[in-house]
Amino acid sequence: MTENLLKKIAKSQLDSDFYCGLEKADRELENELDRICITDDLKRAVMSGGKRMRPNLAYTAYRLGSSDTEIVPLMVMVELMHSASLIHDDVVDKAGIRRNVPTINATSGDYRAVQSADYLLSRAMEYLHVYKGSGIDERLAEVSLRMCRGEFLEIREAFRISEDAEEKYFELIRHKTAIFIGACAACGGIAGGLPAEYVKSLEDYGTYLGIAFQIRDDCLDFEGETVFGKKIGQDLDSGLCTLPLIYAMKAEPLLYSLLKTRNPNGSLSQKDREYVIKIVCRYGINDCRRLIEEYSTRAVETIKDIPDSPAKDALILMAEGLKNRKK
Amino acid sequence: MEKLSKEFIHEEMDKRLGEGYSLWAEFLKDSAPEEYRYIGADAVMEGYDGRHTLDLASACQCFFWFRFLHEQTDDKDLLLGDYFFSRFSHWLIPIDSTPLIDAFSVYLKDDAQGTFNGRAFDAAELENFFRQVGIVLDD
Repeated sequence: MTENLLKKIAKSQLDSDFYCGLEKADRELENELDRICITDDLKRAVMSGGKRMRPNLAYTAYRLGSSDTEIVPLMVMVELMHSASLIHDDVVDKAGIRRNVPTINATSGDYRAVQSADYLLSRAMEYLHVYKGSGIDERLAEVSLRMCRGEFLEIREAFRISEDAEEKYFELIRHKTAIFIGACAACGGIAGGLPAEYVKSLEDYGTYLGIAFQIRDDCLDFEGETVFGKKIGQDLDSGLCTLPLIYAMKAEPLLYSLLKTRNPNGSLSQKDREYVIKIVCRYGINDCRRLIEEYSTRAVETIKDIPDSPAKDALILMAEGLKNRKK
Repeated sequence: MEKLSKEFIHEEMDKRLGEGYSLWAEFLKDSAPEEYRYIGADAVMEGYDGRHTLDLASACQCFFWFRFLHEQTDDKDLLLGDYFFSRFSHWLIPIDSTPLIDAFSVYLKDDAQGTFNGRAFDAAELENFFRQVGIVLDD
């Protein structure tokens, strides 16, 4: 009990430092956005918040090795990269709302959304020189390539229910989500001057965290009410074979038959759609929850050799918090 | 150092960008326009002849496809454009030149703002940029 309380206090100290850093990062971003003519759209998209998981992770990993808060460039860079990729995702998914605000493609059209995201990439490039020679830039470039490969893999697999669907799902979420989160943790560690073995542990930690995060995200697609403007069953409509669906198909063969015979790009009838969501909620979610716990636990185990510190406690709490993530 | 031949550079471009061209054929059901296939590489060779020729040529060619594909609004063009941007970074970063990165960053910032406000993609302008960008390298 006492130990837990101490952890929370340590985290709250780190949180207050973190938000200072994040505020600095936000201010820097806002100043830049003020000077350009695509301000309104971009400000809305970038400054509307979100979980800021990636810069948070980079910062916390950095604090494992360094006592100062001079990590703003990396935080801004990863947030810009992430925001650009979300804007592009919204164009591809034809999404109208994200983080409860209208998307750029919804207000200004696809073309302007694409150019806005490219602008953010140009801004991210400005920070590359800060980490020259550290290996951080190369890591982030490699990750962005693998994320692109993940996007193509997702298109290839859409509306297909293959025998090795579970294996493909994990390959996909590693590429699309997890390795970037792993890279944020690793890059924070590098910037903080941690030894190579700890950087590797942080990379694994972030990757496991990213896997757990994505599985949770995929569960949220089926559960409850509309969350942050995201419609229930959106992944299902896009033909994505996510883990809750895979587990539900294993438990209920009828579901497998229904989806296997679905036309490519064909939408489900309202009745079938409701049936699928009901079966997934009944049979798919619990197994996923178990797996989220498993990956969160695995994430914590990977950093067990890193010396204890408030920053390490914060990483542990971050992983544990995923088990109850609601948004 | 012996000057690299155009033929060698073209062959290398085809190898280095091979995955991108396969994705192009698979997802866009077409091939990359022949007239632009070496536009970045050839422009670099006109303005720069040094130890980074091959990497700079690769970076420029990828940057060209990135901007070219983002002129289109189809989702697969967009994703392939992103792919070429990541390849551009892959070859740009090892050159290890802050002025070079800054030059691309400034160009992209200006170009993205211009196209956001309705300016059309201009292959000749980009070609001209590639011709000049090698000057910032001090080898």
